[in-house]
Amino acid sequence: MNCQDTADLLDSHALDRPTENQRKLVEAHFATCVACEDSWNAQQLLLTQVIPEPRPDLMAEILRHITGRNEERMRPRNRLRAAAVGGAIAVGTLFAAVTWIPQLEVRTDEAGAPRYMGAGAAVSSPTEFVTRVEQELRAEVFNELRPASVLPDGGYFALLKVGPPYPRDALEQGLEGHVVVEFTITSLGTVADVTVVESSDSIFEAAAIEGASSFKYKPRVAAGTPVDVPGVRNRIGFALSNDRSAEEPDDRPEIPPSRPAFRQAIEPAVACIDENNFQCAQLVLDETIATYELNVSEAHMLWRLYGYTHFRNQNFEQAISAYETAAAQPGLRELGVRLTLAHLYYERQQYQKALDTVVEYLVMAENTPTASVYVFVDRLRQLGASVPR
Amino acid sequence: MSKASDKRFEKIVEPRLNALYRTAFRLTGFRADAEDLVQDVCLRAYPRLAELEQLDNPLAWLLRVQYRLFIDHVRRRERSPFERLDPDIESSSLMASRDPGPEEQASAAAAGQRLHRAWQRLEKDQRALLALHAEGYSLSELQHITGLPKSALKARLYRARARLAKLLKTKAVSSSQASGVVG
Repeated sequence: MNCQDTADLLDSHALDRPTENQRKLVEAHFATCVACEDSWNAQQLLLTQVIPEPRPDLMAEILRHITGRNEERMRPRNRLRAAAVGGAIAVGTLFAAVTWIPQLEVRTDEAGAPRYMGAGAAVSSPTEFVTRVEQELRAEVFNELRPASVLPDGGYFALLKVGPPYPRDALEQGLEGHVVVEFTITSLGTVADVTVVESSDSIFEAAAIEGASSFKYKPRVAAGTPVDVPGVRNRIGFALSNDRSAEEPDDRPEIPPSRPAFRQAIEPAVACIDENNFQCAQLVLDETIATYELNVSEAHMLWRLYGYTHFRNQNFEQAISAYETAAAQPGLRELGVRLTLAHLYYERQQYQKALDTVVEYLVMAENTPTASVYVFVDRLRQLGASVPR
Repeated sequence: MSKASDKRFEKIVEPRLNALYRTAFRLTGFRADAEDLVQDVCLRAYPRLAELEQLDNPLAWLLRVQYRLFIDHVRRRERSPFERLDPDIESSSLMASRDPGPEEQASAAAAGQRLHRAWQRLEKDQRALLALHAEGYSLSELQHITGLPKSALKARLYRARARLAKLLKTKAVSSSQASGVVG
């Protein structure tokens, strides 16, 4: 009998009314484990809670209320987009392409408010970009942000973000939406304490939390020691198709999403990296590349994983080359990888290359870049990089 | 909507009203809030009557709606737990179900109050999981209701229980400290 067994028994209701034998077994465990005993007691307390009966006229009351306001209806659900989903629902295994809305991390202030003011819509040209950066940096960003927390000198940046599977219910209902999560980037570069700050529909929250929990970062380093960074926010978008706005001519081919089997195949790689077993990770990835005929989404994901493996193994040049391969996958609008690359170039003191990559990111970005991106750009310009006209 | 659809709706919901209400009561801790929550569920369900009638397990569907509504909206109406204590919470409703003697009755009522206080400080998603679980739903039913994968569900149940146990152990705090603090 151990903690896992106890939890399993509690979960399965097997301890709700324990037999004498069970009681002896768990009590033997409780003698060594106060936490399990407390959990067991808490569950017992809940189980013995007496719930009052509903009042007898509740149903009638509810019906009266409904008929009184039957004009007021739930907003209509989005219908499934036939083009996006097609027959895939029939097999029930579709992982729709999850669009990462490139809202990168911004520190929050002591009051918990996000600090990304000043960043408006995405820019259309490098020239416009320069103007905006200058205006906005002068006006607000430098005054508002604590530079140490966003500048890449020892700052954190994302190394790996894999979109979570689309929640099945949302898929079936044709729902799209987003979730803003907040979390701590730990000194190990993992994500902890994920909470939901905002969501368009709670249906997406579990997936967003799962997804964010698997993000990997280069941790922030202060005075030579990696430290936790709490209060990092990230917006995770869920869209059923990767189609664009109506004005845009739809000349780009549909991007196939990654397949569940592929996701399963690469899953062990992350576990290997978590255990600092890079050889094992590399093996898993090599095997995947040999076994699967990868589509672009999958190739992108695979090369990001290679990049992450190399980075953690401190092979920075190889990491850069892997992330470059990920970024080069045609047609994909995965932007995060460009920011990762830019930060890596920066760390290798390739400032011009870093700036070029950020500009590429900004030109591609359809959504609001955050102030940290602008601050990064300014830093690169101070270091001598210049924005092409 | 017609009288006929009222009847059809009642036919589906009435037999499940008790189950819905029980969970709602556990979730919210208050009779009035439980009634509001059940009513909200019905409001969402009514326009989808035809769908409901097709389901093998309408209760699971209703519980899922209730779960989401609770997670979404509880914050809006969350009050300081000390502004309002329904008498039925304080006296009878949280007592042990077996037949207690007078002394035990007093301690059971105290335990009930302790649970109520801890419960109101528990995070809403943790409350939701524990409430459904305490109602006897199995892990696969919980999976269906919450949409969480099994591994996540188990991990969360574990954390929620541990959190509740911890809250049960901490002393009562004054209302000014307690209001809106989830921890």
